[in-house]
Formats: sequence, structure tokens, C-alpha cells
Amino acid sequence: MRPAVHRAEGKKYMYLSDRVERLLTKVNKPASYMGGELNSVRKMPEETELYWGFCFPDLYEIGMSYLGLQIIYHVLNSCPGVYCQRIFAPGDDMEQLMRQENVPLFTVEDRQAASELDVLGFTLQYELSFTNIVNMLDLAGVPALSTKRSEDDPIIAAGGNCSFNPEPLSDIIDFFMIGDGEDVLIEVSELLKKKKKEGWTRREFLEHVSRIKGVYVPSFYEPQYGDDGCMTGYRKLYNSAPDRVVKRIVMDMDSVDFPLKPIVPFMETVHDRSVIELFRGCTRGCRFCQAGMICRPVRERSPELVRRFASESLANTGYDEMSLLSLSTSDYSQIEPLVRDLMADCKQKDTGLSLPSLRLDSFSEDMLREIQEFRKTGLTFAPEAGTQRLRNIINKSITDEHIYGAAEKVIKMGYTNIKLYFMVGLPGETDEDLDGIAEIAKNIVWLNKKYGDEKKKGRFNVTVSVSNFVPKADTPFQWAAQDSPEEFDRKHIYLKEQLRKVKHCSFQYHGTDTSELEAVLARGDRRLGKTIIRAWELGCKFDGWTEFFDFEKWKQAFADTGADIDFYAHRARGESEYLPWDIMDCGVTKKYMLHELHEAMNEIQTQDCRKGCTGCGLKRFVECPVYEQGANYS
Amino acid sequence: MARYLLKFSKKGGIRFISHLDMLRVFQRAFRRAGIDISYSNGYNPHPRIGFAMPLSLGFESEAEYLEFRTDTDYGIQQIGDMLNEKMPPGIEAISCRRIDNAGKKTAAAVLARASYTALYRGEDGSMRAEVTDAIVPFLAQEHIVSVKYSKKKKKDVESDIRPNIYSLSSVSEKRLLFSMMLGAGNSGSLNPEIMMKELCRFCEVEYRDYEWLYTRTEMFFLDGKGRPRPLDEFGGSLRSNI
Repeated sequence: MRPAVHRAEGKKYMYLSDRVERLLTKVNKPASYMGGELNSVRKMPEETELYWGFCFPDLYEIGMSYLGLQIIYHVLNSCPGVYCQRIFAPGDDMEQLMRQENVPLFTVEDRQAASELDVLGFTLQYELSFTNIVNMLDLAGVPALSTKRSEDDPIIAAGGNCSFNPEPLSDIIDFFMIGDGEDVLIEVSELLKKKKKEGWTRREFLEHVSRIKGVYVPSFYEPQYGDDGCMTGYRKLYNSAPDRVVKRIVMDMDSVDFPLKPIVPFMETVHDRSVIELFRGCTRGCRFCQAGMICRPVRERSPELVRRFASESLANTGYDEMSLLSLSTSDYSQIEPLVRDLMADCKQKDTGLSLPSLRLDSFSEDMLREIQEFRKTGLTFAPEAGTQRLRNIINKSITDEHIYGAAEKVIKMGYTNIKLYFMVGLPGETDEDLDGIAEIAKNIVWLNKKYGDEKKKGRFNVTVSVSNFVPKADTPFQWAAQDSPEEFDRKHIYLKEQLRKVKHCSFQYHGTDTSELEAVLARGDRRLGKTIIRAWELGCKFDGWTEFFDFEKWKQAFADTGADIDFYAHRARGESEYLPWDIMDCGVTKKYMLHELHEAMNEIQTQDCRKGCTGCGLKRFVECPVYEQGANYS
Repeated sequence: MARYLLKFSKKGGIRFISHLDMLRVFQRAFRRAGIDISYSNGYNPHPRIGFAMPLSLGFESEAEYLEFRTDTDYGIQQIGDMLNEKMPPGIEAISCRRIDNAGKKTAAAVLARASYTALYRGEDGSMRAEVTDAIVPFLAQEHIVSVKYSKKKKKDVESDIRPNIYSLSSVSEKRLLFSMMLGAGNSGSLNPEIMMKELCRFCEVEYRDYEWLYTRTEMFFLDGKGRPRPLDEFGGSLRSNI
């Protein structure tokens, strides 16, 4: 049992600084809790009307590598009268000390108690962080259930990719924001200031905020269930709440605010570099990919601005590496000239350039050698499926020619490592598709035999990394049943056996338990709120970390709350079934996703919508920008 | 090529920044200030910048030394300005000197001693006399064996710390404040915390790590006659106080 943390009596501005400092001598990575980093913001009480806590439900070093944190921190702190501080999930050692010494959850900046802030906003990046939200609220001394919170408690908000199906957290979060955060956060902040000034109740505030586009107030909707346990819809409890919540879209990437003075952590984080966002959205339409659906349309930042941002960001941080961020770097319309220019700039400043998710065709060998990511890791490729048939099903446009062409190129360049990413358990998959994975590995090994450098040949290694398919909300595969754990295990063993005979090949795969839990939560409904809280009561937290994940406890939580794993993860949803996230309009229509599902079943690809609109439904809201594509685009 | 030795202090909250992180703090500050550190030749060039000695996490220091080289000849004033503008609070430059004539060895290589203070900040000051009185018999021992768990060897490792204790004394009538001179650098190094733990064990006083604050007060090299001289005097004569 966790010792409870008691709320600060007397409230307001109980600075914990000395008490926290005492704990710092006893923990690993004290820099996570220290604050005072370059470019972090402090504001005085006199200039603060509204206190935001940006809560990242995982460790500091994970959160500080997340660009969204830097963007939101910058946007909120640029608002006059708004002070946004950061709050992270403390590491296990720190948490134990905090509970022992009765130190509540605190902000990094002022070491202010989280419970004293006006609003706590959680970012939902992955389902396996949900129990950390419960844990953080408990550490803050704030009741996890929204119905149990008093007028004195902070408002609890959430946003990020997982809020496109927020239902499992609907008992906990007061309101969700879906889509791009830049504008909606400012609108919400104005309203929160008003709440404070005019003394609105929580209920009054929620009524007002529910009228802001992109905001979902779950307590205004009651889920309805049929006799079979499936949802049939929502009953509105507040008439003025919208029938459907439409995601927010920021259209102009050149005018939207971007943090050119990002916080520079003292300690080493996952990605220690300057990051410039290149574009949002993706036009490829892979049918398993949630980001590809919910982040539409593609909105590029102009190359001139990217270049200027890169140079300013480097000057303001002192990083020696920079990186471009997007869902698919190569798809940027002017990637070649941009990379050429950036490379020249970086070379002048002795800075490394990292380009994740890069396709090789458009770059010369000389340029490839200069690209940091590539220098470090060699070639990584994500064919996702082993045969063309299955790639047609999932709409992944990579062909065998792409794979072997790229592999041959890097082998001839003298690289001895190639990494391939695949998924198993995709809809329509047969053992032939698994054979296909082994086939690709074998062929690449053969390419090395043929073209590899005589001296290096022997060291060659191709890594086959396999993850388990998790059906996600707002994708054409949202109706699909996930493979059973037994089936995943069988496929892993099957592949292992196939690849065992292949020399110079190593095989990695993910645990099935986390994939199963992810599948439950990703397409869960409101009834799972009890399960999440129960799992936390049983001791679950940091479920994304193998050293903490305990599936037995989760199974216990499912049993205790009467929730059925199979119902959520392994059941194919009916095409006419009401889905818990149907109340959200992510821009792409359900009709289009169903059409895409049928195309998948018929093994038909849908074209990249840069080549012509495929009618996903986004045009109901915006005009999709058209970008002139470079010559090498395929 | 220009070679510098920078002396700075590290106090307050910043003492929780680790050795490696400190190096990054300086590297980034140099980059922001537009001061280019030289790189070594070779397949994987690394920047020619390094501390004379790592400082344990949580320790304060009045005398940290950073040695670095630049291709361009920057004025000492420029480097001083940079430090005062671009460093996080808690790091303060004390002096910066050109040490172009210091010979082949780095400051880290010539380092031989370091002095520290240990201050008790806990609530139970009653054991002051006990600990103070134990110093003489403690030092009178021929060997002081300290047991430390080695992560590398995955087992407890014994070592004799006595040869690396050069002096130890109580320096305050009221407070539990000790001053010590310990071996440092390649020829044998001792962490003052290990010594204080052994001292407390020797006089059977409980040691709680968060109650003690350690401060490094100086680092020394040995002159021709084997006498410790502060690293401040290492190589070169061009002195500039910031």
C-alpha cells in the first residue's frame, strides 16, 4: 500500500523548495527535479493571473524530449498573465521518499504544490501512461475521480493523440482538447482567467468551455449500452454541449508560434538536440496508422523559415546536433534543397544533422554520409509487412524494389548494419506473410554476400524487429480484432525458427502483454475508468517500462471491475456498431474509414492523396494545401 | 592554438548537476557564445575540453578547474564575459589563465591532492565531541580498510584509504566542520564522503548522507620539491582575474 500524501493545509503558495532539496541528495538523477534549466521560465505572483501545470505522465527525461511540451510551454507562457510550469511523474525512488516525507507533487519551476495550481493539463502520448496520471493526482492530493473533486481543486484537462479516444479517462479528466493545441489553449486560458475573476463554479466553467471548438467535456455525455454490452451512443446531459466534437486545426505553419528558445535540460535526455518541426500530417494513408489519420491535412513550414528557425534555435541552445521532425521527413516537398542548405549551415557550425524516417532514393551517397542519424545507425527501413499483398492491405506503398535498392546502396557504401521493422498480427495476415519477412532478411544477407566489402562482410548484420499490431481508434483498422496472445506467441516462434537458419540476422520482438493492454485501452470505453483506477490501487504505474509492468495485476483489475479483455481487444467490432470515439470528429469520416477497410479486404491500395484527393472528409473543414513535389517523389 | 585554465565555483542548487552534465553545460555555453573549442585529430574527433577532476553529485566547490583549447586566440576577457552571461546561476568564474607554456601534461594529469570541508547540517549536534576526539586515534591507525561495492566486479571490494589521507582536523568550536587534504588524481584518489563514513564508523556515530555537505576548497599539484601548490599556479604566468 502506498502511504497517502496529505494536501497542504492553508493553501496557496506553499513553496516546497527546502523539503524537496533534502530529498535530492538521496535520489538518482536529481537534475530531473531541480529546474533552473536554460530558457525555462519563472514568473512572479504579481504578474500571474492563471497557474497552469503542464503534466507529463512519465519521467523527466522522456517528457523533455517531447517537442509538444516545448511548444505548449512556450505558447502558454507567451500569454500575458499566464504562468505554465512543468510537472513530471517522479521516479520510483523519488516517489517513495515523497510519500515517506509527505512531500506532495510539485512543479519543476517553483517547486509549488500541484494542488495549488488553477489547472493541470496532462498530455496523453501513449495508453500505457494512464496509471501514471492516477498516481500523479494521488501524489498531488487531488481526487482522481472528477465527481469527487471540490471547487478548490485544480481543473484537470488533457490533450494529445490519445484524447481522440478519451473515454477510458473520462471519469478522471474534466475536459479534453482534441487536435492542434496552439489556439485552443489560449482560448481556454482566457476562460479560466474569467472563471477565477468572476468566481465561476467548476460546472459553470465546464459549460462555457464545452462551447469552445475542439473541447470535449465528458461529464456532459452519458454513454448508453445495449444488451450485448456494446455502446449504442451517448445521452447528452447538458443541452448546449455539441453533438460532436470537431478537432482543432492550425493551418498556417509559418505564422503559428514555435519555440526558438526551447528549455535545455542539464541532464542527458532521450533526444539531446535542437528540433524543428518540418510539417504536420501525412498523406500516405497507411491503414494501421493513427497519426496519419488524425493529423491531417499536411501543412508544411516553408524551407526559408525552417532554416531560420534551425539557426536561431542552435544559437539559443548551444546544441551540437539538430533534427527535423515530421511523420515522414522524405515527403517534405522540398526536402532535397532544404537538406542541402541545412547541411551547409550545420557544417559551418560543426553541428550534426539528424533526419529520422528518411527514404534513401533522393540522396547522394555523400549527403547520406553527412547525415548524423544515418552515420550512427546505418539504414533503418520499415516495410511493416513481408509481402506485397499484405502491404497492399495496409496501404504501405514501399515495394520490394525500394527495399532491395536501398539495401544494395548502403551495402555498397560499406555499412554493415541494416534494421528492418515489421508488424505481426495485421488484418489478413497469413503464414506466407511471415515467410515473406524471412525472405526479405535472406535476400538482404545475399546482397551483402554479393556486394559487401570483403573485409567487412563477416561483420554484417540485419536486424528484424517485429512489433505487434494494435488496432487504434480513428483508423480503417479500428474494427479489427487483435490477435490473441497465443497467436502472437506462435507467430514469434514461427519467425524465430525461420530466421534462426539465416546467418548474419538477429531477431527482436515485443512482449505480447503490453500490446494486449494497449489494444484494450486504445479502443476502450468509459467503463474502463474503474479498471485503470483499480490497477493503480493494485500498484500499477509506468506500465510502458518493462521493469514496472505487471500484467497479473492488470488482469486482477479487469476481474475486479468486471471488464473483459477479449471484449475490447480480440473482438471484431461490427461495422454498424457505435464506437466510443464516434463522438469525436477527427476530420476523417467514419464512412471513409469503412471504405478503406473494404479496400483493404480486397487488397487494393489507395493512392497517396498528394496525387489527388481521396475524399477522406477533411474538406468539410479545411482546404488541403497543395505542395509542388520534388522530382524524386514516389 | 590557445590553451586555457578556468577556475570556477559551483554552489547552491547546481550542485545536483552531475560531472558529465556540467561538461555539456560548458560546451553549450561556449557554442552559444560563439567560442569554438578545438577538436582532436583522429577518426572520432572529440572536443579538447575537460575538468581537472570530477566533483561528486551534491558537493559544492570553491575551486573547480576546466582546461580547454581553442583554435582562435580569444581574449581572456571575452571568455570571462561569456561565462558571466551564459552560465546558469550557481556557477561563478573566479579566474581564467592562459597556460600555453604548461608543458605536455594536462591539469588533470598533474593533479595530486584536493582539499575539502565537511559540514554537518543535521539536527543532532551532540556527537561533535565524539567525532572530533576520534580524529587522532582514527589517523593513528596504520590501515583504514573501506569496503565499497564495485559495480564492475559485482562484489564488495576492500581498499586501504589511510595512504590518501594527508590531513584531517576540526576547524570550528561550535559547528561540526572538518577540513581535510586528500589524495586526488591518478596517483590515488579518495572521496571525502568515504573518509567521513569511516570516521563515523570508527567512533560509532550514525552517518546519514543527506546531513553532510561537502565543499571542495582547492586542488593541488606537486612542485619540484614535492610540495602541494594550488592548480591556480599550474603553468604559465598570464593571469587575469574575472
